[in-house]
Amino acid sequence: MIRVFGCRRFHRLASEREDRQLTSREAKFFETHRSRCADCGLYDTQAHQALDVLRGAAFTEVELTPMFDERVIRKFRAQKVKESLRYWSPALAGAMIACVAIFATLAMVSRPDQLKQANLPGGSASRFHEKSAFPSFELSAMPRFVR
Amino acid sequence: MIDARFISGVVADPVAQERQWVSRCRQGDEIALGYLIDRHRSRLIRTATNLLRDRHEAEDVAQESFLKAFREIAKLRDDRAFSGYLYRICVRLCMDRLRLKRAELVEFDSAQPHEGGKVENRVVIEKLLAQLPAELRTTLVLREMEQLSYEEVAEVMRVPIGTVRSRLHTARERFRKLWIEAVGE
Repeated sequence: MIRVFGCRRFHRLASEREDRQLTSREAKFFETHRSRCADCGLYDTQAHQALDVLRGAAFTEVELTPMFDERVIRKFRAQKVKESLRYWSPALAGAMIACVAIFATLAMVSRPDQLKQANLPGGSASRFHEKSAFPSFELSAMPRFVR
Repeated sequence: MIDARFISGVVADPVAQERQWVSRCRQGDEIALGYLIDRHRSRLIRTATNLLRDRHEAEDVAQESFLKAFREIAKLRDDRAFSGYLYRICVRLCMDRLRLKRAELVEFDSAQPHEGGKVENRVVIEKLLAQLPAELRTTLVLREMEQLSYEEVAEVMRVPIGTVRSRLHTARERFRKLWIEAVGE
């Protein structure tokens, strides 16, 4: 087959013709070239056919699955909770570490055997204990028949 | 501030209406969230289906797009831009999936020319599109199936119009060759 000068331009115009109207000069070149070059004529037919099939295979309407909206909203809520947890987790971890540190310090301080002996007061101390005025309840002192 | 006319349902302009819903959504209103999903889901799922050729995957992508858009809605400067913003996210997510899919590309058996039924055509188209790189495939689908203009494709893909033009030319040429191989002409 004889290749005619301008095939590249023809191919470009064949593609552009799908999107815009060619100028009269371009259209004239296109038609003249198409009538002279059999290869380009075939190219144009095939290109058209391929694009027609592609357009025909497009989905124009899609069936929606039920509850799509609800699922998105539910996921959005979960996402918000996760994000807020992620936001606050460093602060929570810090607070927990601080709490542990405070408890550990308090536990150490409150142990008397860990304190220095020199810091303990000397002598002995006793608490005044007043005998209770109320009678004590002793089971053994009760008569047998009451028990 | 929410327009009183809007609450009473008098606002007819869909752009103004959407702006109001977006601003309500930014404040965490779930009714607004539902409205925006309802308004955009069909288009989003349809585009994702055309790009990915898989309805279930398309729904996943649409869902992911909504979640991403709502998460970042505070960053959106212009409420009117929400629709384009959402669409862009969806196309980007589809492109990411296409790039991953391309690694596990299925070879097309060109030795058996197909008959040309509508369902069969869809299957063939799916296999042919799978052989195009993600950028070319997306450009071709947005232009030929979604009927977007050059400007819209350029905006969605964040590339200059010249790039869209050259990509489209290359994509059409490659698709034509693949199609000829497939039909065995």
